[in-house]
Amino acid sequence: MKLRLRSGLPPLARACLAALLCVLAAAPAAAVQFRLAATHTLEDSGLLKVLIPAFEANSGVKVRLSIGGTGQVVKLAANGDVDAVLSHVKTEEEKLVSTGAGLRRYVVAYNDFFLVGPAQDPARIRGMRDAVEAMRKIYEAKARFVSRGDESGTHLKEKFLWHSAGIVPKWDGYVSAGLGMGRVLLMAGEFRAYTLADRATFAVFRARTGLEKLLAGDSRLYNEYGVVTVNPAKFPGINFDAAGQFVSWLTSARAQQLIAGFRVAGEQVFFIPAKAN
Amino acid sequence: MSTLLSFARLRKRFGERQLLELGAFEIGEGEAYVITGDNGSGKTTLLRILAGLEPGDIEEFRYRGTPVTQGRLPENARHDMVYVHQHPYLFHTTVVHNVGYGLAARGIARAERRRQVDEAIAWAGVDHLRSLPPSKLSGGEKQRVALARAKVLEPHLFLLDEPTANLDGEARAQVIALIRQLVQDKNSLLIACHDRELIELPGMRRFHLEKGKLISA
Amino acid sequence: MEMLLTIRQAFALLFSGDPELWTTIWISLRVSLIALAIATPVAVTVGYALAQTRFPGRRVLIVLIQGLLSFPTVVVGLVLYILLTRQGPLGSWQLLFTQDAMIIGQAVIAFPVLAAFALAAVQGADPRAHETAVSLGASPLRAALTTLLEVRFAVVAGVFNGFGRVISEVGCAMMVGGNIAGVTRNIPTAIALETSKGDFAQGVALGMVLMLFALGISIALGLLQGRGGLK
Repeated sequence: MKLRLRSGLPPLARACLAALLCVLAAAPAAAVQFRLAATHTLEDSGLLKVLIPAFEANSGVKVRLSIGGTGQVVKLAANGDVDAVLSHVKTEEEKLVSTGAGLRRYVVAYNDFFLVGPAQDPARIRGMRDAVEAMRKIYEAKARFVSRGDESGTHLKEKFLWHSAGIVPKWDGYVSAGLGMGRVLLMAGEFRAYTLADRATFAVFRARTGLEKLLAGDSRLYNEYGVVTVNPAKFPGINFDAAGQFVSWLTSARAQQLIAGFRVAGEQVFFIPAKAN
Repeated sequence: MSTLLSFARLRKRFGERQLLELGAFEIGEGEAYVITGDNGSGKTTLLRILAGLEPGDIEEFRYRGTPVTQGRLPENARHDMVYVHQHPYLFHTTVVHNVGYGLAARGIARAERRRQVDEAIAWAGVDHLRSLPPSKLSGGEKQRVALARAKVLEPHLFLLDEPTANLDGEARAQVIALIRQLVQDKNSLLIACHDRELIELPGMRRFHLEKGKLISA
Repeated sequence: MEMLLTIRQAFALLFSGDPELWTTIWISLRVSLIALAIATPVAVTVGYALAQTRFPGRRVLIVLIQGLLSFPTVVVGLVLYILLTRQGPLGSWQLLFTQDAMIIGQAVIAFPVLAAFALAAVQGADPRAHETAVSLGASPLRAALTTLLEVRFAVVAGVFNGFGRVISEVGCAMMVGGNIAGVTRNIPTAIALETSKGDFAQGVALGMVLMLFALGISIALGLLQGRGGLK
């Protein structure tokens, strides 16, 4: 039996290969891509689901969104893996700029944290105005408390409060859960425990948890959201144009209206800064 | 001679074919029988049916005087007979464990078990193999261990399937010697085989299976 | 070279005897081993029964078990969460966010793997094994145990596989355990946390421990195959 050598690939294979190459070649020719990282808190509240499509429609820029914990998203920016980052830990955002990884920080919105807990309120903190004292009462009552435990903005605020009270939080009822805000609220609901939660996420999860807002209004519970553009000088390949477009849009009156107008269960949960940046 | 096992009729279908169609059959207590017949004649199947390993259609089955109604021997009767495969299967442990297996199943205490096992191993002449795993044994050695494993239980009936098949020379002679011993000690045996020497052992009676029917020779 | 630095930090953490790290490892081992201890006898029994007996619905059950082999673990976690939550049917047991809940989850996840391997092992057994046992007077239970012992290498391979599946699963553990430090934080959930914190050194250290386990399983399986039982 003679071996017949084929010259090249059979016609069907050739057609498939050609089609594949076309698809691959076409991919990069999509709309301008903008890589944005944001913390869980902004996602859990649902705000990004409103803002991102509005920005895409307005600018024609396609947003590739990565959600993560504060440490994670800040690291993405520090490594130049994203073009901009949205978070709520001012110190980390400013560090990005001071180390040269970030170009500039802008304030986007603000809200506040609450101390939430079971209706029975075993530590008797309901209606108090002093958050640090309330934390002390929780500690003294050895009441159950669920901490984010993940170096997130919320966790850092919690640590700040303990530190101000001069307490090292370690007792049987103190639980350090490495989870996002929503899941921590659910856990606190299960355990009938106290926790520190931001206004927005609490509004989303409150009904499911059976927890109540017990303390608010202490100025130390202020929570500010910022955006940092990544430095194109340090990282070539950064889509600085898109980042710039995003920031201008975010700080424009239109976007600020969207943020202030955002409602969860009928409640306003984000507030716009009084003066422009 | 008292009857050990008897039936009026035994039938076995194999797909479309009627493999076995036996009429009245009887074996006596303390007697030894060979069943001869060509390959595929159903010798093995007959033994397996009697051992309860395969279903068969049996009429008026009696074992040691007691009628057997379900077409299979009841639990205690089955423990009274031991079937040995053509290529015996030894558990992947040791020879000692294998020989003692049936005794352990009966709940015999360790010390007593050891004594009986040692006796059976000595009888079979496999003492030098006692701690070996079965994978290291030759065909003849496995057969002798299997016989010891059966003998130690003092069954009322040995069902041996081609015990000397694939054996020759010394190995075959040793197995035949053991079977001769069993016959001489008035054990009841039913042996399926071709082996001339076994067929001609003193005291051995013979059945021949052909075209599904048994002929007493 | 952040990668090299991270790896070096990871080794340092491992050998420094960092108590948090070793607690996490201990929790991982404890939960997975107990889960296997619970699931194995049940699964092996089911596998044996499926191999040796015939009953209506047998084929359906076999297909079901084999389908569950790669069932997403996070769905197992979700179902368990719904059962164990306060408002759920088993809420009064207060098992959510405990090691016990993780153990239940992992036992459920490991079960199909263990049963499928046991089934295959018994199906692959020499039929003479069971026949010999019965012929020598073994009760059905003893004969079953003897048959299983004869295919023990294949059955144990299933156990190792089951262990591999649960020691590194994160979806269910996260959902029903809650990643609570010192209580329900095992290796995979800890890695998820460290990653979300951007702390890669810890994540890598834990990842290396997992790799060591995976390697250990691989080697053990290889040794088993060498000793026969699997061909």
